[in-house]
Amino acid sequence: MAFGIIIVTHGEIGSSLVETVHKILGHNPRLDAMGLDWDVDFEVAKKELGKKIDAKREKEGVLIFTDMFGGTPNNVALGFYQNPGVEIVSGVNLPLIMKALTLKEDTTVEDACQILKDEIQKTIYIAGDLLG
Amino acid sequence: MIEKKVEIINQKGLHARAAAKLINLSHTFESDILIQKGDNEVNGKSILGLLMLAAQMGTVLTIRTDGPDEGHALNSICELITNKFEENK
Repeated sequence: MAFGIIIVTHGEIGSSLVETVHKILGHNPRLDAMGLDWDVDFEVAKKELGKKIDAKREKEGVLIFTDMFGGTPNNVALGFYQNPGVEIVSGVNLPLIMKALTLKEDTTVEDACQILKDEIQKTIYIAGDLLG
Repeated sequence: MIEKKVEIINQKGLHARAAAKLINLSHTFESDILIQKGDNEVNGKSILGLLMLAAQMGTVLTIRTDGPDEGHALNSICELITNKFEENK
């Protein structure tokens, strides 16, 4: 069983990404999103994320993607970084989610983090460099 | 290892959903699958690799398959591409 993925972002960024990924790769129940309103209460958000993590915990670990290191969504997620089987990766984007969902089924959440970090940093291109 | 050249003929080229269909198909085969455009060769089972090719309509790709089901894999992949990834245009 593969790990679950929760995308925690400002506003609707995460849910839009999830919707887009479902369109490209087909619906995938491993994915969930949580958007934080501008006036969100930190503790309320943390509690909500805790519930989402528990719901995904049936699977082999939970990978949390956040939109920006240092932002509130990331800081809410950091409250869980020492939980066993929970990993947090900031800088979510479309290739990151697609790569995560197309890793081998038996990839652990810990291994996934390293693979994703290495791969995704290579997905920002200047078109001219690539196409000549 | 066997190989075949195939032209992308659908209007949107090898875009995200087309690449997703291609990797889903590739994963059904045991063989290694490589896809080449110009000097770039990528793993046919990696969606990000395929997207990196930026293969538009009119691009000729070289498909290489290597393994126990290489013939079936090569034909199926070429068929998906020549069938415009099951798209209308």
